[in-house]
Amino acid sequence: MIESITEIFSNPWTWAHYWDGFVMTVQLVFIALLIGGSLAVPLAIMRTSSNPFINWPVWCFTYVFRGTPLLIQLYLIYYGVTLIDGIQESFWWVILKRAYYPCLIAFALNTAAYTTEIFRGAIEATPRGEIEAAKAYGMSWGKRMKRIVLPSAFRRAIPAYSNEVIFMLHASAIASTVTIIDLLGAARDVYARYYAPFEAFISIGLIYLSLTFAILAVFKQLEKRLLGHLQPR
Amino acid sequence: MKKTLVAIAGALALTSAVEAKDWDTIRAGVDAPYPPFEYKAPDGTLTGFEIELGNEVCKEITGKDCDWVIQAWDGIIPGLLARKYDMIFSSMSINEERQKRVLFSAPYYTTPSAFFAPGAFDPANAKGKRIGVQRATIQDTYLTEFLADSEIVRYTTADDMVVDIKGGRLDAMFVDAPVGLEMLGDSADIKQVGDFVKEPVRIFGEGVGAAFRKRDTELADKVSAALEKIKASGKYDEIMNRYFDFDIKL
Repeated sequence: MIESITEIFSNPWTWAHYWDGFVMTVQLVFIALLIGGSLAVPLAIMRTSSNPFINWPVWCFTYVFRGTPLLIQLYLIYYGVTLIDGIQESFWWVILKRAYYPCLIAFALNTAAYTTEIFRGAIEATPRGEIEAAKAYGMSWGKRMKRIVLPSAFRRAIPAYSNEVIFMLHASAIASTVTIIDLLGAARDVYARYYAPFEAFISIGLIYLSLTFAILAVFKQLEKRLLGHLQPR
Repeated sequence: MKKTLVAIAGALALTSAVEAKDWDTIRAGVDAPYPPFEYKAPDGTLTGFEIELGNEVCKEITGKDCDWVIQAWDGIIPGLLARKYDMIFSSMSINEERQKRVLFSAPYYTTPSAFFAPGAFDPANAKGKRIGVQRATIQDTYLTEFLADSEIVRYTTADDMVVDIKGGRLDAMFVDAPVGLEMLGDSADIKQVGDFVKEPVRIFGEGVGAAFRKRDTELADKVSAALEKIKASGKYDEIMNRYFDFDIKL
């Protein structure tokens, strides 16, 4: 075991490969969260609407994406796009030919669905008194949302959202099933090259672990600053 | 104290006696589907050239068929070392890198590798082209060394790769020629390009052999002897002719 570890990690190729995988994982997760998060805000507001024509389509979207495994969503998007007639000749094929964008789309839509429900819960938990007070001041719906409801909802959503970020990081490992060399993909290559499963997978396990702790640290600071008023003294 | 030591020594002697057992079943690891060598028939049973040949070999030694264990290619050597099966009978080319980890029987067939592409493709001028290959195969080693400036896309299974080349995601793929011919058989637009690739021997090896844990020398010898017998009796040709139009015997 010690010999194979020194053999594997004395080769600069291993480090370079792991670094590429690390960059790919972080990039995929970060961009997916960014897109998913910005989609989730308007969707969450629509979802809290009492008008069924606004509420219902969003409900369908979150129901489907939360009700099916991410792996299946990824397969449907990755393999599904090749079946669209004429796509190989269209301009979209430049984007969809590689696995990266289909994967990013799947991740972004999936996290958008979960984040929508997290935000919806936070919006609905706004104390009635605050809304009544805002109404009493004569604020319009838009102003109320912007000044009262959303800022406090985002703060309340932070703890639940940190879970979603961590789940997204861990779920991103399935990118390797569609030929993307993320952290797990890099580990598979190392494994295949040295026939050393433990060394390859334990080392990326540790990297995922440290990434998770880094995310937790960031959210802990955020909670301290933004949720200080809700914390027990 | 002495008694315990004697007991332990006795137990050890017993286990080593068990080690040198007669094999009553041989568990064989195989990566399927990899037609025409191993694949599932419509009724779900495993079949193919190597399955039939392997069963003949097992019958010579144990009197019954092998106990087949399906294992994805990239984990096939670790699976052998972890004792999930006793032999790999899955188109494994004999080469130096693998000989460090496992023991091989005498080779029992050889096939060339080939490029398959949906359009014009020149292996000598493949810069930036997307070429699919199955991870940890000798084809992978070849591409990594000789076509490093192309974009090598590595797959866990051969059928994922075929789906992607049919979907237009790959400019070419590099596989064992019979596998490529078989898997793309019904596809009119994806054709073999260029000649068969067999060189260098350092990578492509001296043929395909069954692989064993290094200490199972006795089993390896038995399998080599059984293969020799099957080749001599004409059974080998009979199975081969059912699957191939050309001679792959070694």
